[in-house]
Amino acid sequence: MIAASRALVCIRPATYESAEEAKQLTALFTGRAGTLENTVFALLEPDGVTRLARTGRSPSFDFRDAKEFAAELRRICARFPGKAGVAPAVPLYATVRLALDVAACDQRLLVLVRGEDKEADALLERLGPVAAEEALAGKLRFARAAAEAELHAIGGVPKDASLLVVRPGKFGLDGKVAASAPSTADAAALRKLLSDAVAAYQPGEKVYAEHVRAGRQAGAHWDTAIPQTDPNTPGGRRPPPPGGK
Amino acid sequence: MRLTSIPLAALVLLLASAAPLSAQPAVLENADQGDPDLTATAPIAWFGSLQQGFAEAKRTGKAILVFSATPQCHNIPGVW
Repeated sequence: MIAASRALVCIRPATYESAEEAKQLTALFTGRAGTLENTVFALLEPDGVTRLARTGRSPSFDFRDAKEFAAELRRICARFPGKAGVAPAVPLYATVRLALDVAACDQRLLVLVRGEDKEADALLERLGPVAAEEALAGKLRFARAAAEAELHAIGGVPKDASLLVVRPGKFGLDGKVAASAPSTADAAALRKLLSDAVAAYQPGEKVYAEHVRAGRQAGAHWDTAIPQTDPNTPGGRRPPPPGGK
Repeated sequence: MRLTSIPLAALVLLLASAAPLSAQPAVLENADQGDPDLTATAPIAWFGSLQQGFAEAKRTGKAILVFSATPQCHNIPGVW
């Protein structure tokens, strides 16, 4: 079985959380208003530039139905099978704050690697192939905590642990450490730690409307890094009327 | 290279525009369309940043699927 995340490099940037990424996404697609919309879909060659399909808000911009999309994905993956013998990297989110939110969105555990030193680099190298194994691929979210300050919203952080498995709070604004490992943990130890954590994690069902309602009641609030500009959503910035203000 | 087990169930859900657009990635996983090619439920190992994802594609020689989304709704976090 070949998982999509192995056959393709799947990237899910968080819209409106980086000015730099917003520029890149806008270069791929803007809606009629000429602004960055909530979602952007693209299929690209490994160079990250050459387009393999029409970009848009979703695959439906270029594919009539699921079968057509599936057939095209197969063709693309046959054309770009990937290099042999290249160990996969750990798929990281840019910040702990964002990763915690995404982990809550996806109802997945968050794995944090602490520090930016060589030990942390080596730990990430060992973690990459383990995280890509069939039993774990896609079941965890990852980020690197470069500074201790990034861990401020996470409870139960052991002083000396280099890898933290974090259970995200309901709204992804906080979390608690469920397991941890030292920087010296080998691949077998990491595999067992993560497998056990995934098996033990049983998040409840998330119902969209209930979640939003509960979030309002709880005062949970997320400020995006840059303004939201999707004219199709409430609160999105609409384009100025013709002729200016 | 056989790709029938690509979690097309997941990717294909991208096509489902009935769901709120901002919520689409939430249904990328664990879908079942009844087609053997579309029923794989392996979740997707998403890269969270364009920079790292593009670097990984160059390093591994794999094609890229980008699907951005907002990890909040009406500024409530924890939901796509």
